[in-house]
Amino acid sequence: MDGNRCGDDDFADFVAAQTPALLGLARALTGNDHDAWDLVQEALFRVGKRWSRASMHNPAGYVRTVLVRLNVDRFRRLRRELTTAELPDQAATSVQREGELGAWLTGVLPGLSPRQRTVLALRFVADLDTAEIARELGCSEGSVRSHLSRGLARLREQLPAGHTTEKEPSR
Amino acid sequence: MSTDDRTEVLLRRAYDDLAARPEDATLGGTAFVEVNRRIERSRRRRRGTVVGVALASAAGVAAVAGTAALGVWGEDTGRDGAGQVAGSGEPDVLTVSAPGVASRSVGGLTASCEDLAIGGQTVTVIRADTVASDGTIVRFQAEVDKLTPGRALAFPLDDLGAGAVDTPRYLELLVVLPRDGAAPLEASSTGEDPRGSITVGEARCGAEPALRLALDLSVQTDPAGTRVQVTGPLTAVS
Repeated sequence: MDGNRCGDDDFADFVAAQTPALLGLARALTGNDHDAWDLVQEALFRVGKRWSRASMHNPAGYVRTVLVRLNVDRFRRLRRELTTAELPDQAATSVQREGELGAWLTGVLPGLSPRQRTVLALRFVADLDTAEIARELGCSEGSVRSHLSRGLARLREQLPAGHTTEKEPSR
Repeated sequence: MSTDDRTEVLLRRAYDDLAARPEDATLGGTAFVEVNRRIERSRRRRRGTVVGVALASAAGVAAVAGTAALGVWGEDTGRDGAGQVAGSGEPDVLTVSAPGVASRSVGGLTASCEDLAIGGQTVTVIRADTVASDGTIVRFQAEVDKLTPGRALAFPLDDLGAGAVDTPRYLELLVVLPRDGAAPLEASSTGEDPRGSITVGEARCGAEPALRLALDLSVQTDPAGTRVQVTGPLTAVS
């Protein structure tokens, strides 16, 4: 993602430029179109409110951080609700993809923990390495490697027919 | 090509397939319209509040009470949660601090409400939060109906004893305090041994959600047990 300028007039350009990438990341984080759209708008709103008042060295990186942390926060809330109450109605619709691999991924993402989904999305969508993911999430590289390893193992177990591999990629 | 490489290629294709949609490229304009509308509405509301306070002061209406109210329930300072280091003599700012960590003043919180369908009941939760550019996060949420003006909630909330039936559900104050060269401190009132109090000034959902609290709370990180102090007024508007 690019976008290192910060002024009143270019917020519209910033939103236009960042929205596709943010939507892709949000979709990989949530596996859900509705939540992805809400997450992107909320993150852009948070950044837009202080667009002209704060100095942002890297607004594209900042909005991605806000989006990821809002999503982590959302999972904290959902987890708490689910441990104290019945499952709320699932109004949101899962992502529907025409491509075989996209459809497969949509089906298996709900089986991963939120942290596993997050590190995998940052790895494969945002293209961050382990150290960068650790900084993004405010946790240790060891923790990232652990979530990445377990998430990859879960995905590998469920690879579509005709695709079998054994080890995680290293980076 | 090695097995690792094949896995990498396969997953990248899967994520590309999931994340990249041609129609996403056309949604930037829609996103901007929606986001800008929210920003403008938020700014108008803030300006209206500030003007109202100024008029009341100019008219000398309830001068003593007004000063007290500003001291406790001070409106957004306009610094908008940028996570500045707190200075002295700023009692109208919510401050987050911990031993050995630069304290942060936090403003610009956004209030929102959500109806949760839980166990056949609908519970309205009010939420106030901000994510500052330096990574400082303050988030409060609770069942709005139990946040009556003037009510003081003592922590740990179990101490409410017989009054526990009125304890707000889903109440949590979450703070994340960034540190130089170390992982941020993350602490929650739902963690171990929260101490202090939250006093309610206003909690309102509806068309224009608003929340005003006075915080004097100490919450603890898990598992290190570092105590994070959160003191001052929390003011959030939609």
